Amino acid sequence: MSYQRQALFCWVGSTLSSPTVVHKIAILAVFEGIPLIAGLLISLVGYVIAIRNITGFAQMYLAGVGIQIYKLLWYPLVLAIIFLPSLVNNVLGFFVKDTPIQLKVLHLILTHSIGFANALVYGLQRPKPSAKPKQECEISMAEARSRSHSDISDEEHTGRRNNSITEDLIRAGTLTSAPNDLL
Amino acid sequence: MSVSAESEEKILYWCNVVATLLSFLGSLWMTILCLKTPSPKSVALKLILAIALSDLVYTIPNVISMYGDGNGLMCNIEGFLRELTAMLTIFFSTATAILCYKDSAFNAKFVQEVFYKKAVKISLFLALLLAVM
Repeated sequence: MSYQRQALFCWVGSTLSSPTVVHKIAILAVFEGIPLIAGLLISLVGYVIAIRNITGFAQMYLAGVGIQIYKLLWYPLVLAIIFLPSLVNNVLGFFVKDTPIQLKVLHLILTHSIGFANALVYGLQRPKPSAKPKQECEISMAEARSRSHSDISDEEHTGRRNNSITEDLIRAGTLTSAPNDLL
Repeated sequence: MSVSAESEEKILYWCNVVATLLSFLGSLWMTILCLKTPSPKSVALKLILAIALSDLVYTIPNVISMYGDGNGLMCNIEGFLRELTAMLTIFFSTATAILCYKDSAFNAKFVQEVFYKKAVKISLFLALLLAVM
């Protein structure tokens, strides 16, 4: 094996003068297919379990603060969108002399714009500067002005405390690593 | 749609230029954003920074493929960098997924920093191995 000019760019190719299809498939599998498919499968399984864990933990809280945990699935989805056309184009290239131009364009644009696709996902994951905390703060201040501490019922106290605990747990646990809380 | 070989080459060249430019700008923006985040940086943020850096380096082989003759040393450098960075992106994305899964399980024995160091070492080793092979 060596790096040599392929249809679109330099990549791994066989040094044999007339490599068989099996040999070409083996190269593609080792250098692109297996790492990609294994990565996708691990990511998907991981995210499904993570989403189950998080939803089971604090569905109401997550809904309340507007965190959409299903956005996490975008990561493996981006990997799939970026690399699968390239895999299809490469596999098809073993059987036909010239793959369709549309597939070549898709292959080239997607694999070469991986940084843009990732930036798009991470950009969308970033929490927008929300007006919500400010509003809450303003309401709290207004409330504080209008009524004394003793006016707040025990039930309300308990509710607030529970919310705070949930928030602390989530911050200490899952969401420290969730992209919504990162950037 | 049937196009001549010459116009096909032109189309692919311009696709490469546009995609590479977008990729460069996107990964640069991500890198700056991650670096600007005040310390201490979370492990997931470090993994995203690693993805951004590998995406940034991935634009180098794209530029080489525009100007290189497709033979010799430049082709080897292009192929090596392409394989290395593509694999690193896949491995780091997978590591981010594993981190989310592990962290959501609230396992007290799970230490994010240890996981991060292991993930980076294993990813680099595997990607280098594939690129050198």
